[in-house]
Amino acid sequence: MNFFKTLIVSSVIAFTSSQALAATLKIATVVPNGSSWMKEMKAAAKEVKAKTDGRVKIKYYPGGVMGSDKTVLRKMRSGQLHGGAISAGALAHIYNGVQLYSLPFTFNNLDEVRHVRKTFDPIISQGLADKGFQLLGLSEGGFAYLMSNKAITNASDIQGQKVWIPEGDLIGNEIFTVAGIRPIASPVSNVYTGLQTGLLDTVTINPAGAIALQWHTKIQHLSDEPLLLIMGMLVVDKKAFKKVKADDQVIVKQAIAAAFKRLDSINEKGNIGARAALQKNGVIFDKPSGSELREIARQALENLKKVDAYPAETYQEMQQVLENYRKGLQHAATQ
Amino acid sequence: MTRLLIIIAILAVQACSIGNLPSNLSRSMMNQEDPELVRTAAPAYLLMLDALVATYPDDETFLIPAAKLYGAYAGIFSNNEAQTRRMANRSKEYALRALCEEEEDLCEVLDHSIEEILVELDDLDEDELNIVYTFASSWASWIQANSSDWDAVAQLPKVKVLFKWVLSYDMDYDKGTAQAYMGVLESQLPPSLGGRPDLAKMHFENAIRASNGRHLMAKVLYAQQYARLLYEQELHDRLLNEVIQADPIAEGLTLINQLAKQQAEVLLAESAEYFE
Repeated sequence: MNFFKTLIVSSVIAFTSSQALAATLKIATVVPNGSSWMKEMKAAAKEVKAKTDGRVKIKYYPGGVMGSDKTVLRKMRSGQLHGGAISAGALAHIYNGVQLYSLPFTFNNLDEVRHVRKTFDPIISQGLADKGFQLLGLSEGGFAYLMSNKAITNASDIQGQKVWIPEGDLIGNEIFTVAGIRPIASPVSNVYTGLQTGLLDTVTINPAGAIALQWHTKIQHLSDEPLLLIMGMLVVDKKAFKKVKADDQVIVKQAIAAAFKRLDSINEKGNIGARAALQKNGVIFDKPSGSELREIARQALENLKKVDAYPAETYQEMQQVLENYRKGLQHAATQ
Repeated sequence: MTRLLIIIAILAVQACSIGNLPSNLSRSMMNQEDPELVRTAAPAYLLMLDALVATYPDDETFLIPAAKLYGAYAGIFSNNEAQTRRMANRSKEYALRALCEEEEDLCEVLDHSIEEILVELDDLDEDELNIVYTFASSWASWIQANSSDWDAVAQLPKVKVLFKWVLSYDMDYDKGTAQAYMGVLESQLPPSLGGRPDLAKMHFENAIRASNGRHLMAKVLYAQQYARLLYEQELHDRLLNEVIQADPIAEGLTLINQLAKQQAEVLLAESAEYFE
């Protein structure tokens, strides 16, 4: 009898002590289950669970079940969620540095992106930390291009187009306003129907996204110059993260950072495949002529500087790093 | 999408007649209560169909059942990705050959736009239901087996068009299995990304209705695809419990119902953790 009592008591102790130590990080995202993002994030969660002997568990809520990026951030503030895997732009109103890599016509290719990320990822991470967010993962979703029902190669082509921008996208709004049109801001959920009904005819998205969301069936042209870089990130509330033991925090950081690093190359390959698939499906790739579109973007950035939509000084520094990198490459090529 | 599209491919087998082969063979397979027996016996049958196709390369009498069985086997019994892909490829190859043999115009526009496919479908009638349905099922399985290839994924909207055409002629086609396919196809994207799970729900319910509730795999897919996507635990658990308690014996559905029951146990065991 006593034997059983001891067993029960000790199991209760074991139960309560493991409860006291265990932490579950609840993280929501609009990314659907089964996507490469979710696969890698789940792999990181598994790694965390194993390496912390179950002390830290990551529970995901995929597919937008907890709402849009905006709602996820609100639920993080109320403590209902601890974190979110969101598009970088979703935090722009809190810390404008998240826009750094997503400003128009900044990069020509991913090598340039990776070169500057070595210097500027830590700056973004610190900027978020100052606002109470722990950045656990940052990854390239790929370059987004203008895709439309007609060829857009110069400024006049865009006149009269019904252009979609994501809700709250200050930068997109300014670019198209400078271009002389009024863009249509709406949630991603409405875009496919918009394209179907003709309420929209022009979108900015990466090739893989265009296929995954089936927008590719409604567009005929891709303006073949990378307009902006889509970035995804996983952030958690700093206060919630601090409740995780210091040693375990390191394990979580390493596992998620590694998953997001893997996503960089997975997404790169995916977008290469998706570009080819778009071409195979009859989408025509048009090279923009001249620099009209770039000039519009430059003007938009000038205007946005005044409203502090992005960290102009840091952006300037990044441009300098980029210029040096390009010069270095040219130099190496001529030797 | 996991392996769902190819898993339901086995359901398509029941609609096939095996030409000169003993026609009861396919039927008895679908009515078999022991999935293990089918798993070990079916490869011999596949090889026999290969031989028949090699002998009569353009004869849809053999191409269609071969396409269906390869698709089905890839979905349920194949145990590695490479094999699944090989079998799904062969399934699509046979189905495409049959389609191109019979419906040359539709065959020629498969690589073109959806609008062009719709124009060609308009010229077909219910006599072509079986061939279009077989090709759509094989195509869906092939996309599933190649889902890491964006070119394959980009073709999904076309598959949807073919299934819709089938359903426009017969809402209950293949005991509701065409509806189950549409249910899976419409539950790939959550509403936040523009998906239409409301349509998925309608298709799954149509599939269940078409079979008078005997189509247990339709219920499993409804739980796994729709209820999980929208985090509806009550619906999820109710559907799976119904499957677990149901009698699997139903004409043409017994084998798949047995597999559905196994799947339901696994999904139900994961329920608490998933919906936590």
